[in-house]
Amino acid sequence: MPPLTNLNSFWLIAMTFIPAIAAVLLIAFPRPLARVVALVATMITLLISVKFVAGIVIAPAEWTASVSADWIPIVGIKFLLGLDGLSGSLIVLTNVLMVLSVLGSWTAIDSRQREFYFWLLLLQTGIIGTFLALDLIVFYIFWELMLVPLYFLIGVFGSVNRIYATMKFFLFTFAGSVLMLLGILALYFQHRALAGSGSFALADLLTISDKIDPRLAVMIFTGFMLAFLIKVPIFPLHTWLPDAHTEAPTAGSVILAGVLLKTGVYGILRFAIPLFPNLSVQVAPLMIALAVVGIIYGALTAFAQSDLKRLVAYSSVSHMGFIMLGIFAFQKEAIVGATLQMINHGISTGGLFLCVGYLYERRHTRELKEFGGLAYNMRVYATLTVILVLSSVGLPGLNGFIGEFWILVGTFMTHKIAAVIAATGVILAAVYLLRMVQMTFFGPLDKEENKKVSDLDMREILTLVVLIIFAFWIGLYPRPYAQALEPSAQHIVEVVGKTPLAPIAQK
Amino acid sequence: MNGFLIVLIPALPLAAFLINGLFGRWLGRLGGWIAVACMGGSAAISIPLFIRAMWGGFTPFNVTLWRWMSNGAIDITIGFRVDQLTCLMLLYVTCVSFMVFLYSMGYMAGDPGFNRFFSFLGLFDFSMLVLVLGDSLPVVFIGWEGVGLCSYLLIGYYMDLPGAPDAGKKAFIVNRIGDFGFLVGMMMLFAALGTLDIQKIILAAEQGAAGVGPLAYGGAFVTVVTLALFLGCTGKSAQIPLFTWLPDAMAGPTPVSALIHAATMVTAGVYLVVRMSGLFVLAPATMTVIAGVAAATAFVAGSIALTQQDIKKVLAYSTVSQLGFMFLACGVGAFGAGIFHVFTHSFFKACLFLGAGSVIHAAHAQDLDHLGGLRKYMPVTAWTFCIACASIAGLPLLAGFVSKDEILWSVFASGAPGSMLLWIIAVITALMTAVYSFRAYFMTFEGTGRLSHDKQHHAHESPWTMTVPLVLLAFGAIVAGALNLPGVFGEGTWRGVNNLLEPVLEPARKVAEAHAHEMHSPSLELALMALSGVIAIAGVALAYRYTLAKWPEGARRLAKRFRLLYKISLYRWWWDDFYMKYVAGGTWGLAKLATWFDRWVIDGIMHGIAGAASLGSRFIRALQNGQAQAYVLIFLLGANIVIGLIIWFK
Repeated sequence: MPPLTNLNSFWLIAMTFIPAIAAVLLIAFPRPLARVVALVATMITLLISVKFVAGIVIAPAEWTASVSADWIPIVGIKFLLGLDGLSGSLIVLTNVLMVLSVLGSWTAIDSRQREFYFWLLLLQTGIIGTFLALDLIVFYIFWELMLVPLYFLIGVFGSVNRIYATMKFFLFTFAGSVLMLLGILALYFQHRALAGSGSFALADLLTISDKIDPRLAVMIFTGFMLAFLIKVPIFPLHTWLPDAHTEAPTAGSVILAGVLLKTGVYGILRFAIPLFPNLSVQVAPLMIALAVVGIIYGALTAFAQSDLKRLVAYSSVSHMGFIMLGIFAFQKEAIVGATLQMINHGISTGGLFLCVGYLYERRHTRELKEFGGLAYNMRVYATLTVILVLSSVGLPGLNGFIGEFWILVGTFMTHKIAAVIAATGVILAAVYLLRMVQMTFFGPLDKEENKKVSDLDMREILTLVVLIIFAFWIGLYPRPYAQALEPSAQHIVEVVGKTPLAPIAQK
Repeated sequence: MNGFLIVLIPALPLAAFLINGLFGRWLGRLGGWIAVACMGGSAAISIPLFIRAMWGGFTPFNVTLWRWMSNGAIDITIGFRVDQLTCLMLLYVTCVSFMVFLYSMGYMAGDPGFNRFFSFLGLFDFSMLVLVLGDSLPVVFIGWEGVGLCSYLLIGYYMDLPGAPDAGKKAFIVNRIGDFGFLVGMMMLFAALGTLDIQKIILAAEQGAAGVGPLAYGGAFVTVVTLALFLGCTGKSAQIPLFTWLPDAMAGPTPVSALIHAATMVTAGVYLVVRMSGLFVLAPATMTVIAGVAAATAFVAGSIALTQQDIKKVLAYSTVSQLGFMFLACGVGAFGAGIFHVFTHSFFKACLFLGAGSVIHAAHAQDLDHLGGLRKYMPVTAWTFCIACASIAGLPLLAGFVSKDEILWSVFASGAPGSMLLWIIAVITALMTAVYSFRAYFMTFEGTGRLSHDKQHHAHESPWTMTVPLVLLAFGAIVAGALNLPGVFGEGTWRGVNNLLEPVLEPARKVAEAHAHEMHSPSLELALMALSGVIAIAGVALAYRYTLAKWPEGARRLAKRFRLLYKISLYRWWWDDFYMKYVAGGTWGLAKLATWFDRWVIDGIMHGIAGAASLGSRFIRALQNGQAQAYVLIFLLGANIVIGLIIWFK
């Protein structure tokens, strides 16, 4: 194994495995300290990732840091990690949400704490690794590593229907993963057949992917896409999501919605499109159609929910539709918008799940009709929640608007009808979220249980305020984010062989 | 230096918002005074700016703050554009806001949400000023959505009042339907021009007028773009088909109704059309639609206002109707007349609402049937209300007369398609305006008192914080017309606002001159002006007859005689019932259907697949014993098999 190439590689490895190491160490600590260890570990990880992304914004480069080492040379598996603007931004998002999840679970998890934080930290390593891996086997291992902790987080710490939700989540995503694994193996053998030696490295596979037999390519591509699309999830593969989100403990929902869904989009951007650009262009119309249907369908379904958490969960289906729309429009502006929207969705929906969790902790119910008038005795809570709702609705000045605007304007250049239909999602978002706000906060405070509810404490306020600061920052000055995300978007546009369509006047 | 002062104009209300929002709990009443001072500061900057624009040497300028949404071909900065139109808007927005802020010190005194109220007001003014100042459509859109948000928050201000949060939600959602149009307009313009900077759009429009570029005169593209933008305006400015939210919005505190739902926010649509007038004139079809929609709205809302019992509802429908007048002017190409009516309307309508607020404050009643005879208890309120009524009714020489008459003449003389029909509708509506406004005045302040004994006892004039704004606004309602005297009085007549706006409206004027055939006939114009005066007086007389002289039998007999018309008016043409039943109900039905579909069809299919799979997996189930060790074992086993396979193939 060659030595680490430079200091950056060291930090990359450190960032990936600190959570896992902490997870193991944590077992040795007394129970009350578990959450402290978790907090420290997640914060260190966050700091490292911030350092990387700040570096990208200051000095743009294609790959800021990478690790390259032979791992199992006999089968050509290399330990390849790489960090660019796209993965870096998503990792920062992951790490921020992880810190907040630990803080948000501080009191909510009152039994089996060590187990809880063990799985949570292991999950973090899984996610970071997934975003960094550039060798498909390494990717696959991290991808599956995400699944196991979530299985336990939902199955053990979830609410009433957790077993059903866990099984559903597991079966859906595992079905996809298996197909992807077959695709990975097929690619390996194709590389061996075409280039003489087997390899799982993305860089190697990219050189041969256009020479693969078209019929086989379709099958491999389908395997990859199914795995990723289930994770996104795109309509109609989304029904695992409401159940999993609703039954998961707060931290689980935050990470699921905030980050896990993005691993699907990330997979498409990192692997599916670059490996099979032509096929991607061919399926684009279908993807766009499904994305648009998902936007409307998710919003309508969210409207009719009576469970607070299910409502937010369905809103994710709608939001993820926007992201998929932006990507398959294959316009640079739209792709930057879509990747930024991944972060925005993590902030607003992650925040909303925290909000729901805090309320659940107090009232032990999520039924909308059980609330009402909470703006009277939970003023801070109501204010912060409404700001996050507005971020999700896409109010200009907050983050959600920037992503939606870029996606819509970019998409409109190539797909006018789709963009216009998608824009109606903006109306529907107001419809379902304002209903939620109204049923929760407004009206008379007439239920005894609600009168006794206390407002947020400083720890809880802190978690939400951090997200709100990001929401305003991106909403008012998104340039650093756009700079970090632009090279990846540019890359995608080049890969699919389309020069960005300049507006008519500039031609 | 200029730039700094311009930034201060919206920044001061923003400060008021933050101070009251964050520290209101500890500041109490002082927070309110700070907000008043902030607003006063904004007005203190805006007034000299306006004077300079009107009389001094003034060249429009831009204030660029920072690069906001730049990404690829999209490059949008946060920046302000200060031209003559901006100065006019700034003047009245800050002045009316200042007076409403001051008034609220009295009106909201002792309210448990006092500081929340002032923080929202501050945020509103910040948004409104950004809307007016924005130099590109997305920046305008920040303000556009921001005022909508504040409107939502303030309508629902009395959170436990039945209907208030519902009304707020309705306002926000209906506005969002309009915003969808705004968004589509922006997408289209960007795709065609590669910019959303308003000046550049107008520049492209001027080229379009000359037949160059994508914005060709009368082309489909420009028609759709302007229609989309106009959809946004119908939401914000409560025009058919999106007007039903405004009457419901009266659930908010009365100062809010005065400021947001009469004087400022609802005129944003008119402002946008005037701001983009160079673009709108390129689409004659859109102009016809605007004029038609506006005339219909003015008429429908005016007819509804005739029979409403709630004094605030009368004023709300009156606002919708007057907004119709403003759009009507725009629709026939008289943008200056439209914006001038915005200007005068802000004075008399704010005065009317604040007067109504003063009544509600004193008498704790707002149903016209339960008011009456209040003049002797609250003379200042009564006189100012009367002046404002006279102004809106269009009694000769008052501000409302000047601005409305200009609209009527513009319609008459425009030569636009159907202009005669539009004019007749407008004249009838003008008559109704006089009737409903004086009906409200008479039934509130004159005749016998119908308040319960208890309330009568408490009726009193309001504190100075409330009466001073009333007097100032009433003064404006009298003299504001002097800023733009009718052109018919000869060449040398000082037409301040028209001259002021000339540079902004020039692109539109050029197009209009090339395509429209305006009528010039001073004698006819004078005759019609006399006619409007007569109509206004007739309206007042009618109102007098049926609400004072022959009250209540006369009114009842009238209602009986025109039973159908009365019902149409009373039930507001059933617009709202239709929307609630079919649009809102339909959406809810769709949502239920989607949920059902999700549960039984999509999930059903997934369960079907799972069920089929589970039949074949009885064997595998044995392995799933729920023990983590077993899973790890299986995982390792599988991994070994995979790696083994690879090695074997190699």
